[in-house]
Amino acid sequence: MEENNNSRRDFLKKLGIVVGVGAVATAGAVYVGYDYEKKKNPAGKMVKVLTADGKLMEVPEEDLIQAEMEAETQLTALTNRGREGIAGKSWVMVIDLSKCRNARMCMAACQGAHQLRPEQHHINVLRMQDTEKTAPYFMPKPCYHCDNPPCVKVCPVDATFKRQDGIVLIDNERCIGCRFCIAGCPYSARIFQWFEPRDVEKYADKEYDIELNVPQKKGTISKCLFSADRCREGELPYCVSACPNGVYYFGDMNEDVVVNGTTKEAMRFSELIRKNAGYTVHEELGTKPRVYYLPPKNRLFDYVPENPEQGEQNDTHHG
Amino acid sequence: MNRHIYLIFALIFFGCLPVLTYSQAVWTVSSADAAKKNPVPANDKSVNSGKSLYNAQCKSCHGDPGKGNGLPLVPKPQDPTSDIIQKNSDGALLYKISNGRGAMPRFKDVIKDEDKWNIINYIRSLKKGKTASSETSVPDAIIQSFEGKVELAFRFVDSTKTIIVKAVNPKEGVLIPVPGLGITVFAKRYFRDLKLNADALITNADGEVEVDFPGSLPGDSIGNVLLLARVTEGVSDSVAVSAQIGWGKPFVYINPRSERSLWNSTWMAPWWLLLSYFGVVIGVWGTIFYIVLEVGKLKKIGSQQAS
Amino acid sequence: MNQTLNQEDSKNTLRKIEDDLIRPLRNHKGFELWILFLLLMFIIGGYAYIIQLKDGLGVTGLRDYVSWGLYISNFVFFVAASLIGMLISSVLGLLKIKWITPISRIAEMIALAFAMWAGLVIIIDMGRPDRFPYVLLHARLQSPILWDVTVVTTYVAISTLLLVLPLIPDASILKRRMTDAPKWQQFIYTMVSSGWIASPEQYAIIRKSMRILAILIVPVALAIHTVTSWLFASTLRPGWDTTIFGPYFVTGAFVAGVAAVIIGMYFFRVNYRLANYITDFHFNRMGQLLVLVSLVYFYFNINEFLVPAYKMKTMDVHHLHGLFAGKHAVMFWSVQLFGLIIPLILLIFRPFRKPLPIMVISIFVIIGAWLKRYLIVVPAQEHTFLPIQNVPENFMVYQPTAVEIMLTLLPIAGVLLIITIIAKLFPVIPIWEIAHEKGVDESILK
Repeated sequence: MEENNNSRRDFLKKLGIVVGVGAVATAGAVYVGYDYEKKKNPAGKMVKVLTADGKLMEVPEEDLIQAEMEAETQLTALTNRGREGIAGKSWVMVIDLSKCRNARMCMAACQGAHQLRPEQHHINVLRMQDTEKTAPYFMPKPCYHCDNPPCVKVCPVDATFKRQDGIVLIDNERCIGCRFCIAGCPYSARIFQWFEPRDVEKYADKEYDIELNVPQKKGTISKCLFSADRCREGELPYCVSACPNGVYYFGDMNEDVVVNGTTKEAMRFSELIRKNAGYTVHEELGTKPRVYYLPPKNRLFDYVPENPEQGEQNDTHHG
Repeated sequence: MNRHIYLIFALIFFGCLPVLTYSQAVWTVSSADAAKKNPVPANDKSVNSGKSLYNAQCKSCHGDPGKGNGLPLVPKPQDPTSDIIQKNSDGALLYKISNGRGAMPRFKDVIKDEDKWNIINYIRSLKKGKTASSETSVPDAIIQSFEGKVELAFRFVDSTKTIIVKAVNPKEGVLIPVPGLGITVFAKRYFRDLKLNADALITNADGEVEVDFPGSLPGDSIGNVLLLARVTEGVSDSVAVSAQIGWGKPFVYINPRSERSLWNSTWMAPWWLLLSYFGVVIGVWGTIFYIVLEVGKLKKIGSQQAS
Repeated sequence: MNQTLNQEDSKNTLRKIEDDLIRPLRNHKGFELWILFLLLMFIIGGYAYIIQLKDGLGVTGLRDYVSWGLYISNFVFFVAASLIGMLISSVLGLLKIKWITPISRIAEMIALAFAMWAGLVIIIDMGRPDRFPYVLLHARLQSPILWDVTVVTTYVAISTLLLVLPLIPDASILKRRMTDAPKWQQFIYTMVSSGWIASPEQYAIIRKSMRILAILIVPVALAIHTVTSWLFASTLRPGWDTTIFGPYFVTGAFVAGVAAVIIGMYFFRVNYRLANYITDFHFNRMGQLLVLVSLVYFYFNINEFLVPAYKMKTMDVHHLHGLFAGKHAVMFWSVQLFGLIIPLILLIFRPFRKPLPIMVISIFVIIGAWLKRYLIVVPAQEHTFLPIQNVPENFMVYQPTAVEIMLTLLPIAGVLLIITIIAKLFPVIPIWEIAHEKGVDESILK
């Protein structure tokens, strides 16, 4: 009985400590919150300021003093708006395989924009042949920005994420380089910066733009971003506008309109898919890709791999 | 004088460059092929059919007829209104369409012969002096250039969802309809505006054109779509008008990130995951801490009993 | 065994056990050399890690397609080897199997050492190890990596308790016996013994806590390797996209773990001269256990390879062909034959379950287990859904580099070091439990 009492007293003592610590922490939090509220609504006057992304906002005068923090706040502003995405949009890409002649302007434009080495591909034009007897064709392969993205699911630190407009982005200031997303992606759309990225010195002073994923960082992941920076400005993605053969269409599924990157002509997305029997790649995996393909039928040119021997070897080397 | 000669040489040289780089620049057609006669009469049906085929198969390289906006390839895909194309005989055109050359594909097995003749009839219909026949190929639908001031106005017919654009010339308080203008109606979209009519419509005697609104086109949350009409042919200034109409399919935006899912952020994880994770972690670590506290008792027992 | 000895016999028996088990702690012959050897491995591994930190993960053979290689294989192997603590001390203990008493601590030591280093091995594989805190700061609960971090931490905590609790009475004995040890060592004994006076209440607490932990560790240990298997099975890749990976990994881990314990037993039996405690009987029993777990593992192997090979789905064909007849065939069949089937057959015969033969067989089994992890991790990544093109040749095939191999030495040395230190500070066989089995009066076990 005596012992029991002891242990109960002991327990109460411990409980007391826990409650005490908790109380202090809560009080602290409440005070900080109070302090913040006080700052938010001071007796002092409010000042109108223009933010980096062009929004007019009201700020208490006293907060304006922190001018030396500018660079840092701007950085977070870029990252914040990049993580947020563009409300109401739902980007979609259509790739017309009947027009792709392996010009590779898309790859070059992409590598230039995203600080990539020649062997690093955000978009990669593949020489495909599904079976021995079926026709070979060229297939540009960007990231499919899946609506059920297996890569995002497995990220342990929210470094890769899906925005509200459907784009799957990378935050290379968050990425820990575990490469689980590479393992997770069935389309091999992701690359890793195994060494220092190309021209690292040239980009050293650049502010990190999450929508461009530049500057690239050693030890982190990179991948196709649907040129999120261009979408924000109402411009078509780098690869789409670079194509000389009218292969790419890009647009907003919510508007049901895609624009051809070469002719700049707008057309109905649903109609384009319906009339040409558009499809997605390996849809049986349940990834719900956002990139649609139009089949390589009625091609207006002959399929010639630029290096037949290598093409042969690679095609049989199915992974 | 000397300089002029150099210039001429330079012109000749650069003019021949495509020929030099492309050894088969002279595209010869055997006389038998060239002499082939076109068996399809050049009526409206044939021309219209040829036009849609041209738009589907040829336009991406040869461009809009008469605008010379073909792709900059070498050799250059020529404008179908140009002499280079028009001076070919029908048979020669058939041969060239069928067999292709360089970047120009072989259409032998892609387009059937009858359709090739339709295309040729269409190409012939573009010959200078003639104009493209369009869907509204009534005799008076000919683009006429207009010098005066032009204003556009929308009118909407709700029952049939028809958009009517009227072109008028305001003159001393009177609005005089302007016929013969090419007008295109667009729906406002993010990257580029969507044409509601494939080719410019030509205003009739009332100065009007009609376009059907595509019923399934998404609008904003209450179906509003911003329309834009522009005179694309017939006046030198840009003349446009815009209006909003609620005929679109109402589009209700649902932020995909508002749903709990395995790909969302951690606090937007499915409930079953949050509950099982924290349930298991709290359960197991609670037990571990209990054991640690128990072990702590050992010492107390030791010191108590020793004394 | 259960009869109680009288006071005098108790004292003598305990004295004998103490002498036998404490003697190795005082014997430092060759110890410095061994530590020096481990230190050398550490330095080589550390040097490799500095190169990797400086130049990036590009110094490995990994590239964009095969992006997990030797390090992840090591991680899986380490997790596998750590599972054995649970099997020996917990499952068999709960089943009231008596013969495990002298080897339970060896199993726990191996388990703890491997589990602790498993957590560190994974850091070696990170592109940005400086951001390791992000795993907690920005944790995404949906990621199997987070589950793995959680469960490995939990397993280390429980394994530590399972190792430390039975050390308490022994530490008390050591405090009494090792009066000539250095101050810090005596301090450790005092700390660990936590006021042990062998009172019935204290025994009750120890026994109850150990019983709770023994139950608790079963699901946690199953989870640690199941979750590790999910790092692969949660992807869509042919070769990894299979539902039996959880039990397949767990049974494979038992095979590796039993082999590791047998090697440990042999080493301590010979070097610590414990032939009277770790007897032929124990090796015989462990041999039988190895046969049992190998049979189960063999069964899972048949499922894992026969079922897809029967169907030959397009994507599985490349993977299976690579294993059965392609470039991984030699390793695959060697692992299956020398690491599983032949040991399994040999161990059915009693003579092979004698200490030396079974130790040699166990070395084959454990090397096979390690290579098997490599065969699970690497080949599946070489076969992607879409062709690998427009990249240099070294993107298509994975070959571990010298840096990777050197860096592998680091965690191995780490594991051996932890085992060495524990085995140098504390007896590898629990004195009090052996004494208790021999009928020594409980109240003098202090």
